[in-house]
Amino acid sequence: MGAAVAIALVGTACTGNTNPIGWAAPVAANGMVIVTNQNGTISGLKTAGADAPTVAWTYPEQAAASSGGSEDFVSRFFNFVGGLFSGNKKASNFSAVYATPRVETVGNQQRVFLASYTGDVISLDAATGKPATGWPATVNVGGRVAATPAFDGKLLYLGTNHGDIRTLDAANGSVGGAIVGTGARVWAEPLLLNGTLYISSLDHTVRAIDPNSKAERWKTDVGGAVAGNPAVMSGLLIVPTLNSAVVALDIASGEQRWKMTGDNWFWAQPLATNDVVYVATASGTVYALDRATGSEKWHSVPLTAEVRTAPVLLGGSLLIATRTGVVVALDPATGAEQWRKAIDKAAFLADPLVLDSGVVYAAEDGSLYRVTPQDQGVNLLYKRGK
Amino acid sequence: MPIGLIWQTFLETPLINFMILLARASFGSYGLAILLFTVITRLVTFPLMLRTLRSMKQMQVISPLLAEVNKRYSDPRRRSEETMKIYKENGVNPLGCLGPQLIQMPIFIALYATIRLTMGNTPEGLLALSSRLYDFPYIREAIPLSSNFLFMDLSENGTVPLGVAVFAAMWLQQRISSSRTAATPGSQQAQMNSTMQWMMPIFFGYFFVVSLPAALGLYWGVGTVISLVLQWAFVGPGDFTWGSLIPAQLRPAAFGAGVSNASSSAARGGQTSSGDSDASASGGSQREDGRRGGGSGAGTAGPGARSGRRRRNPRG
Repeated sequence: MGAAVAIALVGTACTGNTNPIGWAAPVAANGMVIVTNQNGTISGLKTAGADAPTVAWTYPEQAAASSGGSEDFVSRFFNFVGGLFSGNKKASNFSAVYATPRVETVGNQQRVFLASYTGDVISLDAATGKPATGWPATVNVGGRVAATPAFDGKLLYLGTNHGDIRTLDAANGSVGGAIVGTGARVWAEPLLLNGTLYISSLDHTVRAIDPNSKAERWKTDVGGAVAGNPAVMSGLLIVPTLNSAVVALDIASGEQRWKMTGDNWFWAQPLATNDVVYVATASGTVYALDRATGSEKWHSVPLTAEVRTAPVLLGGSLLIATRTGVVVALDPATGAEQWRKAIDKAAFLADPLVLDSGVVYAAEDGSLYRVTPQDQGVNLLYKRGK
Repeated sequence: MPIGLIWQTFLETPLINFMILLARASFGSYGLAILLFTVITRLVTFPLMLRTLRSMKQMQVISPLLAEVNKRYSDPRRRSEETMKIYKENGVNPLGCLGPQLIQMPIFIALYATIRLTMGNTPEGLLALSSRLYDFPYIREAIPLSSNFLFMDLSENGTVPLGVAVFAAMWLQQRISSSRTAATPGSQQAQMNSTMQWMMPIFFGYFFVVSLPAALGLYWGVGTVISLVLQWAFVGPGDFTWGSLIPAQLRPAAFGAGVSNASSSAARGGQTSSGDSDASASGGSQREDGRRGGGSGAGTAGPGARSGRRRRNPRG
């Protein structure tokens, strides 16, 4: 019996994801696109219009040669069995990254800050990919990091799975004390606006904190866990929740202005324009809401796939990408489908990057796709290992 | 309908929602929910478990007869016929114990997937949960569940005390089970029992520490303890005595001479994996004792222990 269960366990473990994979979005900096690779490296890609980019640098260089690719069942079986004896430790602490790399100027150097799910943070020179001077090889903040850090020009603010916000000196990497303890995981990006830090966490709350005095300015229960990044527009903090609701809070007082309930969780960051807020659910239904009142203008036909990527407005289309590798263009005025493209074996979970006249989507396997709504083009830009 | 979809729709997804429901009803504690779930599954499978225990008890009764058949017949075919005859005459189904264990397997596998999804210890895992929840606000509002229970983070591996507890419970269960088999000392069966008594607990203990979330270890450990208690209550401890857990060198200091002898014998039984087999190898009188011991020790722990002493006395 025991042996049968053990075999069943191993078999079961091979049919699903045991380890975190990551969904860090690509970022643009000085003619480069900075991407994380699943083999634990980070690359700076030189882009030139619609041409395929060239790899300008990869950090660390030694690991660059070892490319990954999507694992088949056999590989996963052996990886899992190997994991039994290694505690499922990843080969690199940067194999799973959810936080978007942060590109900021510190002194006279443009730096890339990358926080991994293990809580390790590195700082690189954005131009060369070399470790930033005066910064340790890696700094650990003492908790898992899934949220993109906030930056105030001197300090980085990192939310952890312990529910606290740790500060990190951008110049030398020294870790400061915890600013606030929410008691629940912080997976949404902390927002720093006009001297106030807005923290959304899985404990159903949004807090406004003075980062200097650590005093709480307000705290609001939004009725559901907040895993996705809030959007800010015209004095409103628009918060997606896992209680199938989008809640708009007054950014100054934390009071609820409106609330709209959808057909499933809201995890994707809302896209707020002057008049309309576009939000997508985990069932793939897109809603257009009146920004001022939250009343529904239209909702799309569900795409029946999780949508975690933020919607993008470009070239007269509202672009949505799903976990099943489908890119759909909707009419922003009516929600009618304009066109769709399915990309085989691609899973889109990372937020998109608008670059020139196209949108760059990073797939779960590390590939980058460029989508141009004008000609309905979907092209493979970059594949890890190439 | 593909088998994977059937599995998800009819087992995994209901279990996911049921576990979240239990967790919410247990003041948001997923640990308590797992304890409750373990008790519920044991209650549901109790009729089958009872049949297994009765089957074990019957096996204990007929083990001397089986040993006799093994000794008497060298022809495997004849031996098999005679063995089946004994089973039939005594109303024993040798595969009867498989029922609850087979039922446990899909539950265990589905629970593994359930724990990975409901704990949401990775963002991808939590996101995947969205498509598996029923549309009840009571369930949806419970997300995310708290993964802390006692000293453990139920979503993480590496909980050493839990691995040790699983090892201890499984070792004890194996030890008690192996004391009822009719294996001859030195036989392949006896060696296998001895190996299993150590290997399975080590394997599972290690597995639960290194690779699996603590929640699954909690389910397995508590389930093993419940089985152990039921086994002890309905079949008795067989040849097992608590004294046999004390190393032989320490026994004279801890107990009187009489107890020491009994404990030493029990320890020998443990080492050769079967006190019954020692008895069966010693002749007809021991078999007779064994038969009586099995019969009288059916209801409580006491008589079972007495039967072990009775068998050991002629040797001592």
